[in-house]
Amino acid sequence: MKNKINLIYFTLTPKLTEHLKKVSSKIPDSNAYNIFSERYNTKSLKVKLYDKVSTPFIDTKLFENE
Amino acid sequence: MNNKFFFLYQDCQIVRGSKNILLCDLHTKNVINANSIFSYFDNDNSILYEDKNKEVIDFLVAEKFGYISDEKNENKKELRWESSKIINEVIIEHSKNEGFSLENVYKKIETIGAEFIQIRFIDYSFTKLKKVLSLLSASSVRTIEILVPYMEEKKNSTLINFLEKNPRVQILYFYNAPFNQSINKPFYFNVVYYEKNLIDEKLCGIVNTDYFLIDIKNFSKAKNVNSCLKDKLFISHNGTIKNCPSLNHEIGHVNDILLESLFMEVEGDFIRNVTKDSINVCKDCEYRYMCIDCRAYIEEPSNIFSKPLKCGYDPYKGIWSDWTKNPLKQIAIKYYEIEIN
Repeated sequence: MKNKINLIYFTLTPKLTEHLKKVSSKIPDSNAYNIFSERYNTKSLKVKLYDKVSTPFIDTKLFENE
Repeated sequence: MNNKFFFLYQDCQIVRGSKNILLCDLHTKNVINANSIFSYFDNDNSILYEDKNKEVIDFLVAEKFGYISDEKNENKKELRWESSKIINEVIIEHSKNEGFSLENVYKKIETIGAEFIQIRFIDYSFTKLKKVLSLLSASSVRTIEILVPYMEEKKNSTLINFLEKNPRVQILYFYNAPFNQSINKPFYFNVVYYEKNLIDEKLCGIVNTDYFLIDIKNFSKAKNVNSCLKDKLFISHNGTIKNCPSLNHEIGHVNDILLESLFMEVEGDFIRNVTKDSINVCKDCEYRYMCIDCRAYIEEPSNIFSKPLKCGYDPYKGIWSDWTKNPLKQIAIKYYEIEIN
């Protein structure tokens, strides 16, 4: 629920929550369609990789704490 | 009454791997696992709109992968990759006593018309860096990356302050730094402190999801040519020219080579056209068109069509593991003398 409608998460009232649950129940289970594009769903890699010389020489695991 | 169909947008591509199937939107860069929805498709881009398919179609429309229409559209975008530049990415090394004159080499780079350049300083000199940037000031280069050894903090700050004013400089790397850190500055300027020596060519060729590029330019490139090597050129500090720093084959010397013969050599170079579809294991991988290939470090050094050594993904099981611990890779790791730590 939080991930699906994160913009209004902090303004949820009990009534609105119930309504959104009904809407959300009609959306296919997110686990069944696992969205896993890490690069675009997280900000862990801070260096932009577009429009540069292709040199995959940085071990990004070393930056995981950022 | 005409049947209605769900159609994928032209920028949405289905990539079938041995175990997993991906649905990639090259416009929004959204990627989903399509294992459970692929069977609903009549062909690679449409689903008949009927009750049993409604749930999946509603999901795909909500995720902006396509649209519903009763007009059948059989036309599919052809994924070609064309570039007006034979060489578009240049890596150049600088040292105290290099085997070329700055003016000549940057004039050649300008004539080549490369858009992206990575400048590596083995020995750092602020005067030389300023000279190089002035030579590039009116060039067709779009983005510049600069690699310098980590220095004392005052010198580092001076350099950062100087470079962040240059809109073309995208990334400044301090290699051999005492820590790993990446800092996002305004206007797409990044500073990366890295513990390892980035000048060491053996560090390159890493394959992981952070390096995946899900846009039409890179996707179509990987489908048609080698995603890493195709339009790349390396000029070493002594002036020898290679395809990439990690490959052994030398094309010539920057002082002697005529651009015509350089272009002929580059265009006829077989390795630059090795696609993911012709590489063992990669050809069965669902990530093959978003992944950056490496032909310098491969699992079987005698087989140019073998999988990149530094890839830990098994497309037959759909599992990532640590490639350095794979017993089948140990011979190649020794062969290339790659240090594991």
